[in-house]
Amino acid sequence: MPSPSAANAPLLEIDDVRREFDDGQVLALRGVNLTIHEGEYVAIMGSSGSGKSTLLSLLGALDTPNSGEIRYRGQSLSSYPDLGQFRAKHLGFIFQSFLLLPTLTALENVLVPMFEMPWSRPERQRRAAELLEAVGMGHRLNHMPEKLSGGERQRVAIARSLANEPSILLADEPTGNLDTQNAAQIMDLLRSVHHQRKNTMILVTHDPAIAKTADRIITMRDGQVVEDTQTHPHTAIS
Amino acid sequence: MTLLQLTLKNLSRRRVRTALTIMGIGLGIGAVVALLGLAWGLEASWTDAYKVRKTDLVVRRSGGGLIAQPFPDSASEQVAQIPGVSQVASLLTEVLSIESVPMMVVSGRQWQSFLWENLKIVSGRLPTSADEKVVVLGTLAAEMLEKKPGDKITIEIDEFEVVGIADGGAVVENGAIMISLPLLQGVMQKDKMVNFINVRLDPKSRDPHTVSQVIQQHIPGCRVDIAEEVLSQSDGVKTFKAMNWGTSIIALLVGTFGVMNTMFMSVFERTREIGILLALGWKRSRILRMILLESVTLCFAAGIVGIIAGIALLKILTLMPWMQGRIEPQITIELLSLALGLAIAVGVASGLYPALHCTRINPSLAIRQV
Repeated sequence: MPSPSAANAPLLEIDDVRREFDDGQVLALRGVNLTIHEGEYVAIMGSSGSGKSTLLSLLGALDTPNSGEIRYRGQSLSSYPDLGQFRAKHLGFIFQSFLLLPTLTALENVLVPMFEMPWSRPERQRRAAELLEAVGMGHRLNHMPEKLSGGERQRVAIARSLANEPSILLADEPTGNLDTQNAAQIMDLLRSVHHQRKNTMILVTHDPAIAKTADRIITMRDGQVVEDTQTHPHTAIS
Repeated sequence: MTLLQLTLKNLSRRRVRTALTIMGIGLGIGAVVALLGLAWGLEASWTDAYKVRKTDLVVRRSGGGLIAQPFPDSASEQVAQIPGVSQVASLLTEVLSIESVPMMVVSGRQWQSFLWENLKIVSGRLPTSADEKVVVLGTLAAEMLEKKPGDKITIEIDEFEVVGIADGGAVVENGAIMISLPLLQGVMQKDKMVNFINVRLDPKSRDPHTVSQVIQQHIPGCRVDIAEEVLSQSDGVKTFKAMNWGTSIIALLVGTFGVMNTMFMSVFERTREIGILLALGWKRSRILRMILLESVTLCFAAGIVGIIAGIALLKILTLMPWMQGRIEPQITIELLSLALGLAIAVGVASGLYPALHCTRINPSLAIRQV
């Protein structure tokens, strides 16, 4: 969790990042420059193929750019010897299709990221149970994903994303597979998590109504940032 | 939750496939247990026979299988003269079809030699002279032939009376027909020929290796082995063991590719899940360990199944007429440890490539897979 002194300090700096696929035939990102600060809630909008998910993959260290640099608290991601460790310690992912492991219970799914943390087994169990309790899933700890509704699965996924106390939450269309009511509840939960934990949240969406809930909306088109609007004053930390 | 618990959950998701894979490699391990149990048992059964006879050295012709080629009995007199030799006993051993039993050891023993000393009469008596046309049956041989003292038995075309049943103290002795040497030489038309000379050394004499070298120098064309090593040095047994190892290795190779196929199918099906684990920050080394642990766990279970199957197979084999009285299979801790060790080695060998494949998965692409 960031300290108050870190308020408004640059957390992620994206410097002229390019990403291409199929030997340059597909240009997914064409020189993106962005700075995201500690505690910000940022929505990335854009139509399909605009490059928003590619950008999220790069910010999440799941992929590497062909050129340009991404820095986390001033350190280039390319200088990290193990990006897996970086992801485990600093990032929490929430996916559109939940991506829970089907053979594991809700509790076990939340325990999975904790394998990389130096906590004892009872400590992990306690933390996982508390997180599920916090997202309203305390009564379904031992349920398998197939026995849960879409909204419940996404709640478990949110609990899992918080497992290692990340400084950044990356959410890729978190309400894309949910009905209106569940989508609203999940967005309330995400905002509440952001407000309470004061971590940075970067959310990819194509829904303007959801994007409006963010402090800042970045709009992408054809692999470039075409608009960067501050919708609310950034008050998460300051 | 531990990595092992996660592994067991992964293996239990496709129970039928897991069970079939375990059966496949289990049969391979079972073959190893059964074949090596037989090979080791063959060696141990004959070594036991020499032990109960208190034989130190065995003289026979070079080459040949389990039953050596005959040579003139006069060699035994030469051996007896060699310093350090305490007693010698000549033996003509044949494997013959006796009545309903297809293969039975018939042991023609030098009359009044120490080869009769270990026979403890259970019923009846021992022969009274070398010329008395009688035989003594080992306890197992009597059972197989369904004979008792007073019954008649035909060896080749000659008829003999069974005068006694004896416990020889070893399975090979108990499964044999004991007859005086001249009588068997007559039946087999191998007058004054033997195929083994059992030697007892003077306890105060030089070490057995030195004496065996001296015997070898005196009797050209013969080889001399320390009693415990006779079987392991036999060309026939070496071939038998080599065939058993060959069959075992083929069975294990088939099993290895079977497990590798299963592991590959399993990781291909779970590419997305492995991508999720990588996205959540799992180290690639942990993914590698998880897949290897799955493969090793699978093979360890197969090892247990294989051991049970192998022991069951050996028990069935020992009931076969051609096995009785010749081999007592060896089911030792060494054999079981070897079987489990091989199972684990197969697990590592078959899991390594799929595991390495997993470490090269791109999480960004993997989590987009449907």
